[in-house]
Amino acid sequence: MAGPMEQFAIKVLHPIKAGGYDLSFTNSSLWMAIALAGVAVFLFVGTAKPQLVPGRWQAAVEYVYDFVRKMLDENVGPEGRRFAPLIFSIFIFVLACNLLGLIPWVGSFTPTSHVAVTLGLAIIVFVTVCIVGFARHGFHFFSLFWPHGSGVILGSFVFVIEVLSFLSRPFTLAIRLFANMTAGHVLLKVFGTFVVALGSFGALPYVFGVVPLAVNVALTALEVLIAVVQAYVFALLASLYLNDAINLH
Amino acid sequence: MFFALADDRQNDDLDRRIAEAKAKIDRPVTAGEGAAESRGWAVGIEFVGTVLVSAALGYFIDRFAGTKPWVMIALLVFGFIAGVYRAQTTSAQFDADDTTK
Repeated sequence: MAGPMEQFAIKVLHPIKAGGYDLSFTNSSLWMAIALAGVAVFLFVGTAKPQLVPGRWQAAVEYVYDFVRKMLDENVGPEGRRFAPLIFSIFIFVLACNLLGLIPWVGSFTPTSHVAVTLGLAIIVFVTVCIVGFARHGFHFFSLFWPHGSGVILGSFVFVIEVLSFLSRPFTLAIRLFANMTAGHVLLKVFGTFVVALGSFGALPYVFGVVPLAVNVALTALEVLIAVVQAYVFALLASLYLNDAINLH
Repeated sequence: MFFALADDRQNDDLDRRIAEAKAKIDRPVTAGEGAAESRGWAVGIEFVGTVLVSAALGYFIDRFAGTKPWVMIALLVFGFIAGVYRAQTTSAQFDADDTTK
């Protein structure tokens, strides 16, 4: 019986060494590639023959894109639309990774259950926010940390707090996604272990084994919901951070 | 005066507002409410993460400046304040976003 943490083990599928770095193709890379391929199929097939009155598949693609664009419109304003490709890519990649990791039996792996992946995505957002902020406002970007019209003492207090909260953003963004994915998968695995342990218990295996199995079914539904919500939260927070850089609140 | 009042009533959108409020109260439970738990966790992580990042930052400043442990203690306190602030702003931002409503 595999332990609950074994599902997160990175397995090297094809070792690659480049300049002293280990760039091996792992199961994590494989499932990121599968996620990308899945997203590509979803989007290309959906937009292959665009029609004025969309079919089911095209409507699904348009709905997902409109969802992200609407989120940017509401939280950033018209300026935010040029970042729709970035936020949309992050959103749909995280969504595909989260959802594909939930498929049982095919040995699926959730890349977003590793800090390396989520922190990488969060740093992309963070660096983009910094570049956009400095490109649009120059050193005036630092006024983001300074409250309008405050004195020197209170102002410097708030300055420290704002800088700390700004610097912690990529980490909280990464940890949130990673923690949600890891916790959910561990929970599923633990209840899966209960099914086996109680199923082999005494004279009435099916009576006892059925209870954790029912819990696992309900948990799987909850995990699908969490997979979608976490992708949404990641994209929403990324667009809120972009809003700070563009409009300097 | 009377006519003005009558006019006001005609333009009044009270009926519409009552209908909207009723629709809000009578609506069925949505998936968005299941998502509320997720958002709650998101806010909690915002607080914990800010404190941890601030403490780590203080630790490294201490290590390079040789002021152990004062910067870390100071940033831990500021990190607590910043964490509460971030948790509050994040939950307010979640409330303000109605993409999913």
